[in-house]
Amino acid sequence: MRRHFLGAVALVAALTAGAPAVLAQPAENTIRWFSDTEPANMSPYFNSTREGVIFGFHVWDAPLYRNLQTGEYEMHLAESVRIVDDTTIELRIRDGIIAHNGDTVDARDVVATVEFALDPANQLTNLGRTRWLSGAELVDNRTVRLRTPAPFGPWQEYLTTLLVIPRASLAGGRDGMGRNPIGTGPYRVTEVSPGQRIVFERFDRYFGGAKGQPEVERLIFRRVPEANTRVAELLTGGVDWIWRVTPDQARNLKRRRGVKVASGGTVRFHYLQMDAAGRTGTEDNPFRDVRVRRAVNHAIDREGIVRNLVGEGADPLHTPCHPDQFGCVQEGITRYEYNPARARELLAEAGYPNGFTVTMGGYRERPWGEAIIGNLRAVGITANLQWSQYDAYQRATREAQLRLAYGSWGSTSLFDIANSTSYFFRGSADDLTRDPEVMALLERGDNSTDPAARREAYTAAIRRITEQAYWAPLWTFPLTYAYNAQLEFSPAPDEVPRFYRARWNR
Amino acid sequence: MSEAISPQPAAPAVRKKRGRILGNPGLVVAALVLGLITLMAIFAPLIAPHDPYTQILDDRLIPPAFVDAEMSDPRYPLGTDNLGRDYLSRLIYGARISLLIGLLTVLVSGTIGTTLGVAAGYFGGRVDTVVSFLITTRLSLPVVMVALAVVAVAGGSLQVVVLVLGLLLWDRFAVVMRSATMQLRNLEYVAAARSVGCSTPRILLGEILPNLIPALVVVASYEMAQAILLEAALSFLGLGVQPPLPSWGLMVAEAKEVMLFDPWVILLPGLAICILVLAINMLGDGIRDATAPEGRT
Amino acid sequence: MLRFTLRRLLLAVVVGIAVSAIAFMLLRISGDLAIALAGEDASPADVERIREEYGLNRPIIVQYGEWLWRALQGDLGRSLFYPESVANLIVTRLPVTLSLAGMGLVIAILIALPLGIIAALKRNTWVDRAALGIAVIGQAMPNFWFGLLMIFLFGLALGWLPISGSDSFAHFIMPAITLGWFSAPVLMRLTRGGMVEVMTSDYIRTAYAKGLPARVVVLKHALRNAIVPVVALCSVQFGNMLSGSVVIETVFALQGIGYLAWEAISRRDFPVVQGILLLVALFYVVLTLLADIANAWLDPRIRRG
Repeated sequence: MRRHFLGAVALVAALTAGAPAVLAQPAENTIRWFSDTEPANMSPYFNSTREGVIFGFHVWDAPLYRNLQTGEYEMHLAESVRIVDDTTIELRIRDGIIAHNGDTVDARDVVATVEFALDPANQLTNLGRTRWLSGAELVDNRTVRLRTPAPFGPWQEYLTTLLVIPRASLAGGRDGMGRNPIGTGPYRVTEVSPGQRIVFERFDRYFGGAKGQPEVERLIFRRVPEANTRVAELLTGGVDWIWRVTPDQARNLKRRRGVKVASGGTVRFHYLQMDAAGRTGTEDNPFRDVRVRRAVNHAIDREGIVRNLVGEGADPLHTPCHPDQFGCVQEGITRYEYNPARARELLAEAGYPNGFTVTMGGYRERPWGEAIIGNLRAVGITANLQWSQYDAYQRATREAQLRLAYGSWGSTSLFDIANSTSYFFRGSADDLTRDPEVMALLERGDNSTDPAARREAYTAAIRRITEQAYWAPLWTFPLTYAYNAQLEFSPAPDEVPRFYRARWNR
Repeated sequence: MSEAISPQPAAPAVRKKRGRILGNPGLVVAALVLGLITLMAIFAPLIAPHDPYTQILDDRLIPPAFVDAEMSDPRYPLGTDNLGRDYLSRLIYGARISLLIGLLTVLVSGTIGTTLGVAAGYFGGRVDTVVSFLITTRLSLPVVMVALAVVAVAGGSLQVVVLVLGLLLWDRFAVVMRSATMQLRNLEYVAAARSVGCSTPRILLGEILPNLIPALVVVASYEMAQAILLEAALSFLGLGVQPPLPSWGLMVAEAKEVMLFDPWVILLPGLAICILVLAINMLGDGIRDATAPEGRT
Repeated sequence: MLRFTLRRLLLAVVVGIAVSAIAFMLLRISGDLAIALAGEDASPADVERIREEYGLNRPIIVQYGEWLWRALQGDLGRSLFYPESVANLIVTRLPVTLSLAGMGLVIAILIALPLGIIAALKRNTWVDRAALGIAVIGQAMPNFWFGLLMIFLFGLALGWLPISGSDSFAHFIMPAITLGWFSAPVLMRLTRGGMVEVMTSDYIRTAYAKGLPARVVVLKHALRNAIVPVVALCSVQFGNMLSGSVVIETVFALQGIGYLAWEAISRRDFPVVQGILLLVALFYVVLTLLADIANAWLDPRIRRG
């Protein structure tokens, strides 16, 4: 501990001197958790923050639930699911589901939710949960048929995100649902004070389903924007659970009694997008040349950055998708190992013996982006960072103003390649590659409901993408949690903590 | 702006001033510190022991000897940062960026503010009404919020930061120049120049401006300090100068990541800013005292 | 006096409109609200749909005209993210920022007055310089840096003060010191200047001559006169603190309008940013107006000028 003299002095002081004893939250059976952002609207159809996804899991339910241990889809609100034809899925809703306001929830609420979401007049801001649907019709009060515009491969995965809102709540519209959220989930919201706190109480009439019955009685959420403040609160007992802990904080927090640190994988990954399609202009655009793209791939010290900065639980990545996602094959792909000398050779072959200068866009995990800039600089590529908020970054990539984009993709926490590779390589505005061969392969995979056929199409697509080095995939994203050691909590692999599975050891 | 700086136009009494300058130890120390930082900035490539951009990830967060002698590395006298870059070299190069931001901002804001202020003070009437309105409007715009909003949408970079701060920090120049010009305008020799038939530009450039310079320097020093602090605040929120440029503000922001367990990383650039701003402010105070006609008031 | 006040009130309205127009143009020209609303996982088609549904594809002038018309009727619009009206949102957050600025002002005065008085009494000695130095240091430190160091020392290492939030009086101590010390030098200089002037006046010399103890002369007679301009400046400083609290509220997780502004800026919640800028501008204009009226009342020469 002599390494950090000042830090050690302070921490010893904190341990011995006046640090308030960690308050006994177990006695209250409450978890207080802090995060850096707060969804402004509680409704899962009107926010797109990660915290909002977590609220969604605790307050509402979807027809299916993905078992975290097995990866299998389990019945949840639905008691059975049947494929009627290529574009129709029939759900039978479980009996006896009670909403937080006491109403019974059945197939009529599913239809109402889908219709609400599809109606432009409702001004939804999170369209991802229902984008794949074209309508819903009631068969009887317990049975509903969902329609998709075309055959849709990953329908099971999407059925885990289709959160059902009780009809009474839908009537409140955007603002009503935001102020007074009503769901069917294991926790009901009892206080929404934007910026102050959001309080969740255990719902005693919860039907259980695949989520099971919660143990902890109360969850209190508060937004604390500054990371150091959150860690300081954890060390002094002001909070029970925090996340997005940096590797350096994790390393130091591990040495503290009373605090537990755990890392969980996610389906998030980082990548560099290069303008291979020449959308920013074909003249003088180095990324049109496959040798330059390969050089970039060889220039980045993925192992070194992962070991020193990204931290435990992270892995270097070589595919434009997360290896845990369906269809993200790792066999037969082209891998580019860290080799700055080879990168310089390739650049020279491509006609850039002295490298070139490029603007690199980015919007999150800045220190890692800086490390990439350092790597690129070592092979002669000067990358100037253009740091911005997400909307400015995305607009710049979509409107072809960026040749190099350092991004991060959370795949909406879905375990299917249709949510990653297909998103970026099927010709949308986010596609900087526009390779017709890749586009055709992905389309074939996405529009098939046969897993074997899908896998085959995706395999070919990924091999082509890596061979052409369209991207420089970077690493999978670890998420580190730190919490009161008395709390029994296990990280989920999808960036969604399940507090309904947590409990206090007394 | 009824703030305490209301420098008087200088009476040309150089000899008396010299005594006041040397008699004020604060001014001398401030000038020395500022000179040292400026020299450091100019000769950064000669002084800096390493390239401030070279990262050696395996050498990250090595503490300086005075923090932990055992873990320190003689190659890095002030340790290394989060990415394994030499901290001393980055601090030396950082002086360049921070000074540059301060100077360029003052250049922009000084030009705007002086033009408006002199015009209002000299011509009076309608011009004065319009300029006074502009000043009031500008003063009622909260600087930090507006700077944040603009930089957030335009994207942070050295140019954007300088431009935004320059366009925001001209008010003090305008206020001070306006009242100083008003006083000068009514002085005998200016009235004499007018009656002799000198053209307006000639009076402004030949008679008014030279006499405004001491006051201008004083305001410029305050605004420069202000600009450096604001850049640091923007950087703290991720919107200032962009990496890998080593501005001191950006270094504080980067060090924030590791401050709880390696506090020295954030202490050093913060102290550097503090010293620079203090020196600039003291220099401004000193000059004001030295040029004010009736000594310190 | 009445004409003076009315003129200044009219000015306040015009300034308010000018500020809102500037803010509106600045915000809308380069930000893309539709993408911000749609969030990270949205597809381009989603964004287009949102753009149309929220009427963001209309000309800026039309959008501003609409906003101004409603604002003049007292309706600042609704937040694009929060299920609240802008006015409501600001009203619920304002008390935190007002308390912070109020306490900041108290701290600034607690630092500035004693230092200013001491400096004036020991004019041009090392005590004078040291007093100024203490005041000025607060202005030289980047406030977020100072705030984080205080969290480290008083929150974490010593455990004396709560670290974040706005639940009790104690929560405001560290942020108020950060904010207050920054404003102290201006007040301190003015106090010192005023005291120097008053202390050399005939009236104080008479008081001394009458044999009154120094403590009484300084605190009762001199300070009372010297403090008038300081009080006026305090109102302006209070306005500055309202707008200067952005960074401090972020560090200490205080949920006031400063943080609301920053959050709204990063989300492109334009109606909220717009509302806050307008409010802060009006605060500033009104506070300067009050300061001017106070000054004019105390010093009739200004009224004529």
